[in-house]
Amino acid sequence: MSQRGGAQRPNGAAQGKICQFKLVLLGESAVGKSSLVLRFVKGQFHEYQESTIGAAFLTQTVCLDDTTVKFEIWDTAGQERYHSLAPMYYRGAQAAIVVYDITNQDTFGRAKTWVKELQRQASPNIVIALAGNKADLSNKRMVEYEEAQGYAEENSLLFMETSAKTAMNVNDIFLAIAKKLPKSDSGGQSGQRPQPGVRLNEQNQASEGGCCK
Amino acid sequence: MASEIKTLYEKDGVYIHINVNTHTSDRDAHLPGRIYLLQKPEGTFVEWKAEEVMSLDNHSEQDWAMISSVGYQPDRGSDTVADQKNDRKRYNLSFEVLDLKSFKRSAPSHGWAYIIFILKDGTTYPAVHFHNGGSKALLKELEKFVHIRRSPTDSRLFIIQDHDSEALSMSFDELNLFQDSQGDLVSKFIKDPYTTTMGSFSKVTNFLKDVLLQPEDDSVPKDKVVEILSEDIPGMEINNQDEPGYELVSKTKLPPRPDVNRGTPLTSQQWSKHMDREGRIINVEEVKDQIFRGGVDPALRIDVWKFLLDVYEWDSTYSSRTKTRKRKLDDYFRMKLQWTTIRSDQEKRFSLFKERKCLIEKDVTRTDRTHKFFEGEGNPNLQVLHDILMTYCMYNFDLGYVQGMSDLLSPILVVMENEVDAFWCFAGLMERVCDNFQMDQEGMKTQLAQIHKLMQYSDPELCNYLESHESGNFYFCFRWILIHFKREFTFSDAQRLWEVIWTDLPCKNFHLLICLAILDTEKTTLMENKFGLTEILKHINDMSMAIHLEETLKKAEGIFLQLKNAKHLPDTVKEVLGFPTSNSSPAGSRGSSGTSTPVQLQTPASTPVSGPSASSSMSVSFTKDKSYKNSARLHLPEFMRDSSSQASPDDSSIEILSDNCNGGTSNFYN
Ligand SMILES: Nc1nc2c(ncn2[C@@H]2O[C@H](COP(=O)(O)OP(=O)(O)OP(=O)(O)O)[C@@H](O)[C@H]2O)c(=O)[nH]1
Ligand SMILES: [Mg+2]
Repeated sequence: MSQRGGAQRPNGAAQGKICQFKLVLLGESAVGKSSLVLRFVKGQFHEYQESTIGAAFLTQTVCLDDTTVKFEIWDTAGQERYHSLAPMYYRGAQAAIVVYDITNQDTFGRAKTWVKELQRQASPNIVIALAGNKADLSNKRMVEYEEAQGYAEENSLLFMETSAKTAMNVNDIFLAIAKKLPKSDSGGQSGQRPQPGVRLNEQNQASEGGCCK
Repeated sequence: MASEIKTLYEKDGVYIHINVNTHTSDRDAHLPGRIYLLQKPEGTFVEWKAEEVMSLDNHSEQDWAMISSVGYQPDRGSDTVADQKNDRKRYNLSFEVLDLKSFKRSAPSHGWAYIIFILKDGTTYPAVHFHNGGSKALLKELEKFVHIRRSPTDSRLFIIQDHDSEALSMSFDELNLFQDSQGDLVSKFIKDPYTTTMGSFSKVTNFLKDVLLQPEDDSVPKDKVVEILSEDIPGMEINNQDEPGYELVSKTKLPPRPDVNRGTPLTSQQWSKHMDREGRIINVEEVKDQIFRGGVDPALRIDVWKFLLDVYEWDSTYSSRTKTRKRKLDDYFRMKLQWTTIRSDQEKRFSLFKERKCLIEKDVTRTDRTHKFFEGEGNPNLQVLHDILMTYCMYNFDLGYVQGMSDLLSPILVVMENEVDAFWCFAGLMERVCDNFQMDQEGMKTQLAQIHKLMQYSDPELCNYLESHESGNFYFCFRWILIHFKREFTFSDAQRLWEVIWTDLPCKNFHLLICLAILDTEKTTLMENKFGLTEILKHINDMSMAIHLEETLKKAEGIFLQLKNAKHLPDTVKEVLGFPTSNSSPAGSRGSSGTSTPVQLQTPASTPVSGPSASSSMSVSFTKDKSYKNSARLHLPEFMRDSSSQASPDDSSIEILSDNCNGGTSNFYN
């Protein structure tokens, strides 16, 4: 069977919609942002994952019912010093995962600051998820699950405790975001420029004129 | 499951060459594996699997990566032991053929064939080497699924042709990026080519390129526009050539790039010849020139780097160096004592200190842990890395610790194998690059803007391409600049590169020319794949460990020579490189006449792109000519060095402390 020129995407979702979303990871240094992405995109975990300098970009495609969701993931450097670069990365993002480390109270405080900043500065409809990472280290826990959950509820954030190390809830948090993102024919990637190589199906493309301005 | 997967092609003896940052002997380890073309229910895949892990592959990450259902799938390979066993697994490669954007093949002269696959999102895989052949057969199989065409400008690059006309219409849409032109750039251009910006010009050429490079495409939309545009190409060039307002289209104004030769590393024999009886370095410029050409023999770095990094003055004597060393040793431990004596209760009221300490701890555990020197749980060298960074915090509390610094320290520590020496060398290096770590990131922004300035002149075509693809801010070079390519090269290559940069030859900001050189090498890949912002960043990040250092250095020097010999170099460019500007002092004009050696490098003012003969004669003449050295020498003092001599505290010396007077240094030599 030749697939030449076909628009099929993974898992035979050829008939369904294809949506593309920009997602940014924010959070204090060493909370595990890169590790979460590495787990999600490659299924790997590196104990000695090196710190991120500048930013990294990765993509992963997931299938949700009849929709193929392509995440364009921006992984940023966490240190305060590089804060001034962050807007460049969350600008135009439809989703953000704000990560903290459950063994470090300060990182939770920092996560709250990020949430505030996103609420103020990012796209108004941005879907924000809060990830309490390193859940495998619960014996060193400093941030209670209930505390974070309460905060997430108050701010209408998705919330999960995750572990990039054991893979717990890693796919889940991305999929939960995918579910929450608007996938109406006109929604989703409005305002996004078309990416080379991303096949948007007819339907989408037609209704999307706005993205090619 | 297995029954659903059909193997369309399979070949063993396919290797990935890893040059991990481990022991030099392990460099370029060849990881054996097998390459497959697989027909899976979800699509056609190219996969490469390392040999050792093949038996474990029932639940390999490849299957995982294709998330087939909503839900959490436990990861079997997640515990550390299994991870280490499957370490090679991380090099496994798998992608859907539909995601393939292009690939690069080895030059025919290369011993065996290799292929570098590049995906649409910019992912660039390490080369797969076909030691036992089979690359052609694989590509033949691949061709059944995708249309492949050879790049017209780079015979090693092959582009996968998108079949839907979207690629074309999309690139046309890119024209509409100029919001003001209402998508009517073409007619605007035809009506009034002179006020259409040069940026637009490049966008038009990009567009034309897209069109012209896809002759087989049967669905060319808006062909009328294409027609008009193609008619206009020659006109465009002629119109712009002598137009003063169009200096940027000045590809023709840059002299051809001469070939340059690299030399051999400075040996200890040569080094000692450069010392007088008291230990002063004579002929400093000659020494620096040799280091610029070939680096330093690794065994000699421990001595020479101290000079390059201003720990010792070049004209210091053996005895003055002994004194300096005592003083610095003393100073170091004085500063170290300042933080080692802070107790935890005091720390509670010293949040800024605590914050920095935390940052350092976080980074020390993840700096170069694959390198032999730092590998393994509880490696004592980690403590040394930590202590030096903490002490540096005390030495320069205003700057503090910023991520990236541990990357700068690690190669130095590996060379020095001594806490105090490494500290002072690191302090010397920080003196050069501290602007990179400023709170407001101004230093970084300035350098990225300088790359832009240089490229506008050295390669307007690529520059315009990047500008029109949201990359004119050059943020994709951020990591390169911040830690001076530390993550882009193997450990030993990074060390070589650094010592070359530290000579401050052949001009100011040579590291920016290295950026230009790497980008020049990647130019066809970026442009012909029509990479945008994200793909560019990804491709650049993925090139880590796959850049050829010596070729890059040659090219960077070549670009330097082109710029140096260019007529009418704008002052903005001259300033970046420390060339004398038109309105600078007489010292400046002396600098420019540094070329007054027998062989003149200048090309006649009116010469456009010179023919091959001109370029080859240039290259011959240049390799004998080191004339730029003089001008570089003139500009040396400007290079961020002014404050370095005062930077070291000037305490009176007390007794020299023995190396193991402190916990941090024990166990250190291994
Ligand atoms: N135990 C445990 N360790 C983790 C987990 N996630 C990450 N780590 C470790 O935490 C450290 C930092 O992880 P990174 O992913 O580099 O953190 P980051 O947020 O990307 O950090 P920056 O790039 O500096 O912003 C690494 O040593 C990881 O191995 C986790 O879920 N559990
Ligand atoms: Mg990171």
